[in-house]
Order: sequence, then structure tokens, then C-alpha cells
Amino acid sequence: MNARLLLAALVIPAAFPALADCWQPDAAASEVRFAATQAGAPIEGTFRSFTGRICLDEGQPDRNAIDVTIDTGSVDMGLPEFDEAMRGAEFFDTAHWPAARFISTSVTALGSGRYAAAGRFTIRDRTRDVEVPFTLSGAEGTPVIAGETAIRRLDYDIGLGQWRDTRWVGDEVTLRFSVTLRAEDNGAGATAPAP
Amino acid sequence: MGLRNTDEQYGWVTQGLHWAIFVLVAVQVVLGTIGADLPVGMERLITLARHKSLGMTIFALMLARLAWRLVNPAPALPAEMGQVERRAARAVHWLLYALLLTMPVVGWVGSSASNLTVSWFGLFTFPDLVNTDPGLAQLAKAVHRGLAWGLMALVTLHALAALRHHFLLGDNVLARMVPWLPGRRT
Repeated sequence: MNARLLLAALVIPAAFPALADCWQPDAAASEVRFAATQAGAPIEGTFRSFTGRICLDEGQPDRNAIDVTIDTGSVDMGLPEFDEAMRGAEFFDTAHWPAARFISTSVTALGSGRYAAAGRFTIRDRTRDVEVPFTLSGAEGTPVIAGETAIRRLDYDIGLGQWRDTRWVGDEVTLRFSVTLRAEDNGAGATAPAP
Repeated sequence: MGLRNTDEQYGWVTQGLHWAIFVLVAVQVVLGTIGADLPVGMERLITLARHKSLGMTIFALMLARLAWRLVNPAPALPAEMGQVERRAARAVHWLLYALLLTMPVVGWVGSSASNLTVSWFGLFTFPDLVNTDPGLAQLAKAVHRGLAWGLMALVTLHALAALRHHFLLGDNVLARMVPWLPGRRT
């Protein structure tokens, strides 16, 4: 065993929770945010409701899997008229596509609680490959995964028609999440209470 | 005409600020009136983004103007003006200062409360004064609108008074703020 492996063997165990089982988001203790720009200034919003299944098995990395569904109708930008616009046909069009979904194709452990997920992300009827680096931390019973990734809204037809002009509404959108996990309970979803 | 005010006339700095702010406020009334009635959409976003950039410009110019005024007294009013007129003139001037400093801040509060951070022509942003709050956003909008009506009424009064001084009283009150009018001694 060379020195680096020895060091890794000494440092990694017990420092981070091991998730041999599958978990689901505790939406009330979690945040899924997006940050965009309007007129050159940042603007943020959150999704209040999401469900999912997160399986991270250090012993069998090929069994790692993440499948998260976001209720696009739960978008919250703090102002009712903005939320209404976001649910409308030019943005999420929640009447036709009530959910956005990420399904991993691979989840690689990088050590020190860091992971790299690759997968397919679908909003409306547009699906793209995305990579999502994230960390696993928190206590043994309540692990937390947190990370962020940048997407281009127009790749997903978000902001059609009048909203296409990226000088005023930026194309790049950062998705940020900090999700507390809890043991799976027969697939029932987790929904944050309305504020 | 020098940079500084004299006993007979406002200097270049005061005149420049006065007329620049006048033009900006006139544009603001147009942009604000158009923007307020637009539905949520790109046109509203663009119109009000420009309104905010210009509003913050007015705010900065007004701070400069206030500072300049405090170190650089206004020309004396005509000797024949009575106490009541002097007080009225003074009150209207300081109310105009107060409104032109308050309106941008109320707009800034309303924008912050609407989750719309204020940007200056996309070059930099101003910190949010409050957290997102739909109720406060509504209140700030109503106050902003009310102050706009008050400002327009005061500006009208201010302009009518200046015209009265020039055409009816024949003194130098208007001339001291207009670059091309010779200051008439009374």
C-alpha cells in the first residue's frame, strides 16, 4: 500500500456519513434555489416542493443513483405576480409540464465527502446532460447533500417569446441545493409547508 | 458666470445640477407612468430598469446638490419680497429637495421588496434595503406614486412662481437660474 492510499484509508472512514441505503429529501429542512439575473442584477427563487431517491453506497459505487423530481408549480420568487408568470406558458408551463426531473447516469465518489453526479435533466420537454458536483456531510442520521450547477435556461425553453432577450434576463441560471435526507418511507413524497 | 453662486446668480454647478435633474425627472415621470401600467413582462422589466437607473442617478445628483448648497449659499432674494413669500419660497425649495431625495429611496425599497435588486445600467448593483415582501412592495409603490403627484404639483408651483417673478414682478429670481438670461437688478 503506497502512502497516498494509506492516508486515504486513515482519513476518509467515519468522517462522513455512509449511505448504504436509499434516502429521500426532507423538503422542510432543505432548499432548492435558482439564481438568475434581471437587468444586470441577481434574482433568486426557490422550489418549495420536490421528491426524490438518493442512494449512495460506498461499498458498491455502481449502485449509486439519484432521481429527483421538482414540482415546478411550487416555484416561489417572493411575489405572487412573478410566480404566476413563472408557472405560465413562457416559463415552466406547469399546466403541461408540472415536473422537472434529474436522473443520474453515474455518481462518482471523489473522496472527502465529495461526489460528482452526471445525469439527464429535464424541464418542460427539453432534456440535457448535466454534471452536478456535490458534497455529503451532516450527521449520521440526517445526512445533507449540497451542491450547485449552472444551466442555460434557453436550453430548456425557459423564457420564451418576449423573454428570450438574454441582455435583460440572463441565459445562465445557477441551481443550488442543500438537501437534508431522511430514511426512505415507502416512496411517499416530502413537501415543504407553505411559508 | 463662475462655478460658484454669487449674490446675483447661481453658478454653473448649481444651474447644471438644477437643469440636469429637471430633465431626468421629466423622463422619470414618463417612464414611471408607462411602466406602472404594464403587465409583468419584458417591456415592464426594461422600462422600470431604466427608471431605476435614472432614479438612482437623480439620488446621487441630489446628494451632490445638497452638499453643494450647504457650502455655497443661494443668491439673495429680492429685497422687496415679503416675509410670507420668503417663507413660502424656502418651504417649497426644501420640500423639493426632500421629495427628490425621498422618492428614489422609496423606489429602491419597493424594488428590493419586489425581489428586484436595483442595478445602475447593468454596471453595478445597489444593496437591497429590505427583504422580499409583497405587502411592503405594494405600500412602497403607492407611496412612490403619491409622492410623484406631490412632486409634480410642487414643480408646477415652483415654475409658476419663477415665471411670476420674471414676467410680473420683473426681478432676477428666474434669471439667476437661467444661463442665457441677464441678471436684472431691481
